[in-house]
Amino acid sequence: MKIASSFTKALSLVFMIFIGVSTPTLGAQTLKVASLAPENSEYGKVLNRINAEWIKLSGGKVRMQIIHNGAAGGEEEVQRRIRQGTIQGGLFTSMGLAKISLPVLSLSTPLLIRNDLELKNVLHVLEKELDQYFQKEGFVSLGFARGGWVYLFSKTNNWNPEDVRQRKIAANTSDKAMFGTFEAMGYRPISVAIPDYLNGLSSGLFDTMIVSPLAALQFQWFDKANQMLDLKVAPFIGGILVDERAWNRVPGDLRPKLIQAARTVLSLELDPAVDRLESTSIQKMVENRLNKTTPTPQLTAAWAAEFQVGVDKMLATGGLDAPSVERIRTILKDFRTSGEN
Amino acid sequence: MNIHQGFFFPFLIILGGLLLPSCALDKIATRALADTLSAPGSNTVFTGDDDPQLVGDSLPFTIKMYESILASQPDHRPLRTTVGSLYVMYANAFVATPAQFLPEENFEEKDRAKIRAKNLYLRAGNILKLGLSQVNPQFEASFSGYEGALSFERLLDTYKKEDVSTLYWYAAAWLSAASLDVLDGTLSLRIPQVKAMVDRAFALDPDWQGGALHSFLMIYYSSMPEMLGGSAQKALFHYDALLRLGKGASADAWMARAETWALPRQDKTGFVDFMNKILSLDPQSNKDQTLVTVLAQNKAKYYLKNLELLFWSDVILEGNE
Repeated sequence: MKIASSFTKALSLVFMIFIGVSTPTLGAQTLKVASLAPENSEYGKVLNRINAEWIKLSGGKVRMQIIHNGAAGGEEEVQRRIRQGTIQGGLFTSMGLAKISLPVLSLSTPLLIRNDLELKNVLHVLEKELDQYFQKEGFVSLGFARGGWVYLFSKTNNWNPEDVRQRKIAANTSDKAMFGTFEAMGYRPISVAIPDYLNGLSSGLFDTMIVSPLAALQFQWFDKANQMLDLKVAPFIGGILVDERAWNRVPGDLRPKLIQAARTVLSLELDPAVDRLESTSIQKMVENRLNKTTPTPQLTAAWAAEFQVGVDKMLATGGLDAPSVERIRTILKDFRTSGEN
Repeated sequence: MNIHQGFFFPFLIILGGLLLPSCALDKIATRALADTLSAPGSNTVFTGDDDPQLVGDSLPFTIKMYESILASQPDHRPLRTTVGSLYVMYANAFVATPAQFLPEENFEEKDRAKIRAKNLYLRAGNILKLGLSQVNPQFEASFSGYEGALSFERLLDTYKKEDVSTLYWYAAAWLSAASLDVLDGTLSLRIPQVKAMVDRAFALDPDWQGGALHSFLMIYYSSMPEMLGGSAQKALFHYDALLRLGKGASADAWMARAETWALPRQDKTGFVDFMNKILSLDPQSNKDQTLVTVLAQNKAKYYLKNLELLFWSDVILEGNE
């Protein structure tokens, strides 16, 4: 198999497992935008699509140089680079966005927002306010999108709050709303860095975690914690921010069109992709021996009451931004009474 | 030869065709052809060519021809591996890689090419899976982790040195497809099994095909996050082994090292050094490697021309001063 043998080399030459290398063409106004997501993922694809739309809309005058795969560092590092001026923007998660403007984390208050319809409505109503939060900090928001939900995963299939309270729960300390709420509830959250989750589960450092199904599948954590409570604990979002100084160099007549293009792509492409990723991740895990428990109304109510205690304590101590939580509660109340939910 | 002889021999063949079961005759011929096409040393017309476009244009026909022969010789494992491997190579060198260098405004075209390449990898995987199942019928159940199936580790023990090629190409097909759609859960879920297949192949024949497994493992360890098994130290071990096997000169080792090591670290000097080394190679010096070296040199030229775009951290782009 001579062809095979020599081409084996050719394959290795161009074969990149998780790294995509693409090179843009520089234009008159190029914004370097960093993203933690791999280029060959739904998130990378959406950024590339926005860039293509911008190039068309501006006739090549405005484009992005997208630094995919976390090559520009973590979210804090990217924000540092933006302030230095070496990068002009980034795609951030709720955690990254909250480092710039804490009120964003209020969206991830446990069991405050209950489903995707509610989240879509809240994001729609808050669109201008979110823009203003970031504008105050020197950023222009190109748009926000739903990122999915976090759920409880555990080694043990008993989901009463009283039982879970006895367990060792891993939480990301960056997720102040979640970590703080569990602390305020009297639980024992353990600060674990994401790369240490698998070892932590194997060694018994913790036995329960609050993570997204996509992460549980991709990092194969569900193999060690194969019980899942099908209760959407909290949503997270993603947003693209650009340094206002750099944005102001974009021709004024183009700015609204470029923002609109970005928001359209996020809404038409990323939103459905996120839904699909979450549902297929759960399905894949169930096919591979994940046991998914649907909570009874009583169990849901018990968790709502449990989280309420924690959230109230967090609000009283300033761990959560009270005005923004109140604002979301008002929006939700109106939405729920409107009957659209 | 007189006129009677001229008619007589074709007549005998036709008569023979009537007397023998026609499918058996067909199998004799196709088996012989399959043996020829998949025999070691049978074909340097592609690999010794210095015109990648000509090779890229020829491969689809070649693949389909091989595949049609495989259809009549489904148990011919070497031919099956050849067909699967050709799909992987074609998808990689002539579909996915050219798409990488399209301008970013050609988003749709790039995206279509990636989807097509992924589908070709999956097609290769399906072809190769049958070959692995011919060795051990429990392959699929064990690979998929079905309840009661043989543990994958024990299953892999049943594969021997002659199966290294099929193990390698199946793993290459799977990981290449996964690399083009990183969040595809079906693919990412089985990466540990795929890695175990390469480990088994490596244990059986570490220097197979002049270091193909070293190449694979070097890229794997460089590209994967640490939490999923990435390791700088292991990547370096395989890089050194590749250079040893290539007697110090290896276009693919240098390119892979540049892309998976120097570039993510924004080591511009190291990256340029690798590109220049690749360009200094004479493609004709090793006939087996001519095509590979030319492909690497084309890529190196592209990278050197677009260097400021790859190394974003040390330049202030026009318009951003």
